[in-house]
Amino acid sequence: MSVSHSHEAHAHPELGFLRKYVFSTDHKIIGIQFLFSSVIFLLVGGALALLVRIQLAWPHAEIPILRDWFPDNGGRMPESFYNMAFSMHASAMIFFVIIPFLTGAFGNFLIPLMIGARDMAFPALNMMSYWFMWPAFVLIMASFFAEGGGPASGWTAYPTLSSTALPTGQGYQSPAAPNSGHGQIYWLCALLCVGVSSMMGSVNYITTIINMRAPGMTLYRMPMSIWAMFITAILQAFALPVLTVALIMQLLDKTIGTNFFLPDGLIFGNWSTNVGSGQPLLWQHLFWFYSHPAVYIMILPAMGMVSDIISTFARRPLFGYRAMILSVAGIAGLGFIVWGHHMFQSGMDPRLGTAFMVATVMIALPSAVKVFNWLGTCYKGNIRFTSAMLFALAFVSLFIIGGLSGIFMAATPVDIAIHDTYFIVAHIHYVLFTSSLFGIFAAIYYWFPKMFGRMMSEFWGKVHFAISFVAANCVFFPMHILGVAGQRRRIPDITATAFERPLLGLNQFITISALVLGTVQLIFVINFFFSLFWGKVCGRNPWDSNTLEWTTTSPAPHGNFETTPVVYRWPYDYGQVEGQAEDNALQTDKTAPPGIGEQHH
Amino acid sequence: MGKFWSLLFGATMAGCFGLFAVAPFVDGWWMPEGVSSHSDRIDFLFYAILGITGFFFVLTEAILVGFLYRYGTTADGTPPKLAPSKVANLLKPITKVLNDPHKIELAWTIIPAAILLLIAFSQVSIWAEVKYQSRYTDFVGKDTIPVVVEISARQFEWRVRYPSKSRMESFLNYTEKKDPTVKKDFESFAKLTKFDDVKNLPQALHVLKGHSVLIHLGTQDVIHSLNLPHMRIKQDALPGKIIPVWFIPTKSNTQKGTWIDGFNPDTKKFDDHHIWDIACAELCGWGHYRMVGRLFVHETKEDFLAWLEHAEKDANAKN
Amino acid sequence: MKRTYLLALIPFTALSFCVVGCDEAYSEALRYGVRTDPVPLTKLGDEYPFPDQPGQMPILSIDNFQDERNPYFAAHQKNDLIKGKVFLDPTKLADAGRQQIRQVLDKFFGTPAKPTVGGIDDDDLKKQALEVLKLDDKILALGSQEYRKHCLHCHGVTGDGRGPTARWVNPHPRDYRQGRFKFESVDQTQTGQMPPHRDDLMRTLEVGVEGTAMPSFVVLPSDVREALVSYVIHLSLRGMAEFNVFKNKIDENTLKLDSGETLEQVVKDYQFNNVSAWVKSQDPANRIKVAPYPYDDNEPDLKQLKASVARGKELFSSPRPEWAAKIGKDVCITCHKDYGRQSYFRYDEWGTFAKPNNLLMGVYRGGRRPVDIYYRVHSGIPPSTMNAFANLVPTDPGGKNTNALWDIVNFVRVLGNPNMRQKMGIYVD
Repeated sequence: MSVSHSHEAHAHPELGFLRKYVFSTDHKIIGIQFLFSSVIFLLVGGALALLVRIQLAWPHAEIPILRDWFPDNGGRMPESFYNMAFSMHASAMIFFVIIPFLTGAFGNFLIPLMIGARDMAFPALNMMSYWFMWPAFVLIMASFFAEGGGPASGWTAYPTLSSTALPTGQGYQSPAAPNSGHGQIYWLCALLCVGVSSMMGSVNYITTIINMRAPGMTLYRMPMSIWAMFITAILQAFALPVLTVALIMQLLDKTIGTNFFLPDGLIFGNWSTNVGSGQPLLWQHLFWFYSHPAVYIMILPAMGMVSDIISTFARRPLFGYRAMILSVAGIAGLGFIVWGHHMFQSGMDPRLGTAFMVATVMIALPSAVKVFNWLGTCYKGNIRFTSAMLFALAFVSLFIIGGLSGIFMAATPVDIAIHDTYFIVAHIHYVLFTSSLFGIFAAIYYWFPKMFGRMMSEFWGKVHFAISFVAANCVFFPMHILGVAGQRRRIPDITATAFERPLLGLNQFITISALVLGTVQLIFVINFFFSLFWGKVCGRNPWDSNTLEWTTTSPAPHGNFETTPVVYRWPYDYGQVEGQAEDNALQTDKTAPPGIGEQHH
Repeated sequence: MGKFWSLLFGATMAGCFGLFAVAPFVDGWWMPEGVSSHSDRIDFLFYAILGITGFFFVLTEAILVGFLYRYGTTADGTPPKLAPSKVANLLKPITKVLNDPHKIELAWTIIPAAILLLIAFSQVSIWAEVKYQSRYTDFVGKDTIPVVVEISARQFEWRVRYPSKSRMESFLNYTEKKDPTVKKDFESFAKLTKFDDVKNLPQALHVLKGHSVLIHLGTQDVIHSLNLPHMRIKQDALPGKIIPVWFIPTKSNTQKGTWIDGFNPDTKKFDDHHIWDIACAELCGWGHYRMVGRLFVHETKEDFLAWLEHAEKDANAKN
Repeated sequence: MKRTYLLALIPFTALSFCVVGCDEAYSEALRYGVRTDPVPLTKLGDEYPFPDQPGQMPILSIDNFQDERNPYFAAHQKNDLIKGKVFLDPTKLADAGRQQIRQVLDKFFGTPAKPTVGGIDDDDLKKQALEVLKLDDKILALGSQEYRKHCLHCHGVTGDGRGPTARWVNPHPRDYRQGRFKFESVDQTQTGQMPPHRDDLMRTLEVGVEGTAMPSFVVLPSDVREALVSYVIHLSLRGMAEFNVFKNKIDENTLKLDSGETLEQVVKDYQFNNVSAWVKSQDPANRIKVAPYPYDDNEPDLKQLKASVARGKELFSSPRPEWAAKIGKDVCITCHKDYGRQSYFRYDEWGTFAKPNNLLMGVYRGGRRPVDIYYRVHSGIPPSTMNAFANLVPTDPGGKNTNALWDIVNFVRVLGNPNMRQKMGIYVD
């Protein structure tokens, strides 16, 4: 059932610049706002990662530019600064880059367009969800300048390192670490804002997708991008409240003297803490109950978009559409019962570990099914190697690596050896950088024309791709080896142990590749901003794609469609048919005969 | 152009595979030698998973690269002219499944599911043996008392408490005498710090080859993690809790008499591979990376007790 | 054309396997500089109720005194601590003076990258400095490199105990610049304050300081630890020279030298005195003479030990006005209030605070061996205001205090173990 009312009947009064482009309720503008802020935080998070890598590669040397920042530490990065660098790298990338890119930017931009609606169900709530990010931006950037430094207990912020506080009334500094005082409080507040923003967004998306589809757009005619956004929004709605609660509990522990997570008897030299009776493990359960579904929030939209991009450029229907939907739902559902795999060695009852292990190993199954389906989509295709397609194919290829490496960690005894080593870091970055982020790049190259009416440079897109692809593998694949050899995470100086010292050369190789990888992203950023103003102007459907957004002008107008579209077919009618000149059929195309895809549908 | 991209993918994936193939032969780039009672089983599971995932990695990447190579569009956008496929000939026996989309979907759902379930259930027994507290007695055996210590972690060092030498000797000799008071004494070790315990020795854990070890792991301030890579042992230390950790070392690394570690008992020379670090594996603050102790495994009971006696003498030095 | 950008990666890959810039030493350009933090001239007072909070260092700079969270804030408001000659503000000294001091110190002590100990004219003393104190340039260079890796972030470049981490641990790291150390085995009761023996510093590195942020460095090879000890002595000597100059030769904003004096000569004199003191401390004759342990602890019913502990308790807790006359304090329990459970912080000589140990915790910062506790009771911890009790405790008819010190030691050791307290009949509730 879908209802949309036409806006042609009443005209809007002309809006000023602020209402049109800054405080806009138009989902496309809001999506683009999320896009821009995420690009900026991508650069911030990337710079932090490079600081981390530089310290790892040359742990004792004085780095030319950095030396002047740290005169009282012999020109070296202090260890607490390093801890802050990786903590903020992860926090920025997860909460301010990947999630806003996928759900904020593309969720917002694509959902109404692809289902044939004029805007979201709650446009004002949508605008609020973006502007709620701004207090988060301010707080997270302010945390760098907090007394004691920015938060440095990891993005996981485990008590008691992160949340120990002095007895009530003695201030907010922490005896456990300099950065766990004011810096940590900023972090908690920033994440609360991000959580609220995401919850607003998720409510909007679910309502819009259920209620506002165009006539003929049944659930099983929705593109995979929308299915993925839909299921992701459900994940967010159920998981975020738990994170919000956990953050509030830690905030209370640090400010008003509760002890949800603080046990008794902690000793920090001459400092004592409040009398406590709390459980550090409780934080871990609450945090990971959200953060595991969070990683699926960070991959499912990318998977959905990649499905659409691959079928478009392979000129083939998506193989196994229903199986793909079931897999996305399976990943999401299973994703709620596996959080304990982050806690296998944590002191949690190991019998729980066995239960979580079985569920975790099984979650590899729907992911594997999806990979096979993508391969099936390419079979007998007519593959066009555009930048978007290249990034989408890289997503598939490298998600295979990320997914397979996950199986090692799911196996609890093997996890004993690789927990908290670089093997985990390798896995994380394969699924987040070479999968999610490459998926985001693919989506940007693909939908940039629809957003801005211009094309990004294909040549520079391919340069960006080729160097990023090789460099990313040079950076993250050797990390598997580092992890097998036992190099621990979150260590600024690996010469401290006998078994990590031999890995210094490999670390230096990774760092140099990382510097190349980081530099080459500038090509993307320049291409992006250059093309905004001077890119080749394009028509409605430069990629010959089927979904609804390509039926309207580029960029899409306010109100999205001149008339409400009516949908007659699924989005994956691609393929050469006898006697037809076109090898695809738009979803609104009533007359074209069914393509090869029809047989599978 | 398509050929170039497929070759780029292929070369990069081959490089990745090559790295895994080469790493075990580069000194220091692979798992350290496993020297505990369960390292063999854990390493076997690792290699099994490596084999299975390696196989699927090669299979799926080869398919992807092959498809990109073969199905790249032509210059004018028309579908590529396809030569007869050699691979298709090889796959003749399963064409029936391959050509039916429903059958193939089922196949590639059920087969991985079976493999994954097999992987999952094969992990359970070794996990239970290493971690389930109910299995600890079976592990140690009713008639043995392990080398028992208490490790207290703090920012940023490990402190170890040992029973006195005579007490430890009675524990080690329990198997012969089976004296119930000794058993009771052992059970009280964790909760009761005796006056003559050898207390708070920093950064060094001494144990005995071939004899089980029981560590009561605690922490004074934040979460740390007792990580013995060579023993394949890892256990987070939680504030507010004492967690037991047990294993049996199967090789020694300490020279008799001098008690210097890094000693290879086979070659009788010192090398870095026999320095067994105790490296904290949970972020505990700015000094986390340097929270590194050393594991000393003594070859014989006499040598171990001689060391303990020396440590006890030093701890009780009155001049 | 499109393949060429792949070729560009090859030189990168090749280069990256080289070890780039494996530089562990300080940069050549770095200098120790002249201190800018307030120089403590006298102790402010006796007791202070709380520790300073994370992020604070009471005497990092004069501006700190304006911070109302600073323990010295109230005192500074009442009576200006600079005018009252409690602290000297070294930043008040004119630039010319600071340059002069810096030049002389750099001449005699080198730079962090190339440390040295110079300014000793007497050949004999020079020889002893090299041999007994192990202060040759090569060992100092190694020590400097290792110090930068392991010690700098707490103890600071100049050994001032004000590295980046220092404010965030409590008790604060040691400031070497006054040549004063807490845990010594050198007899402090004979000729006044003596520097520690090298073995004391080695021991601190070996076992750490339990209950503080100083960990054990036993995993470092012993030659590295020896080098570190030498470097610490170097930093201490340099700091002492600088401290002496500021304490004695600065009047308001100028360097006041007597007629005919040069700063170089002045510093050489200080250096002579300081190095002599350090060398003297290494003489075995000046170590604390530990009386032989008089009891048999292996008695089945522990009778002797029990009696000793009872005597120790009496010495620890019963008032002794005759001690108050000599040391201004009554007995142990005067400072270790309620056996340490309710001790107040005390101002120490470095301008920071020290808390008399809570003896019921069983944590002994200076070492937990019986002989370590004997050292503490015998010679005290002078910079932290713990008195030497060797000459105060009662002696036996032979004029020796053979048992009294060991009685106190036994009592202190028993206090730290609840099980043993019960066995010995010591009730402290």
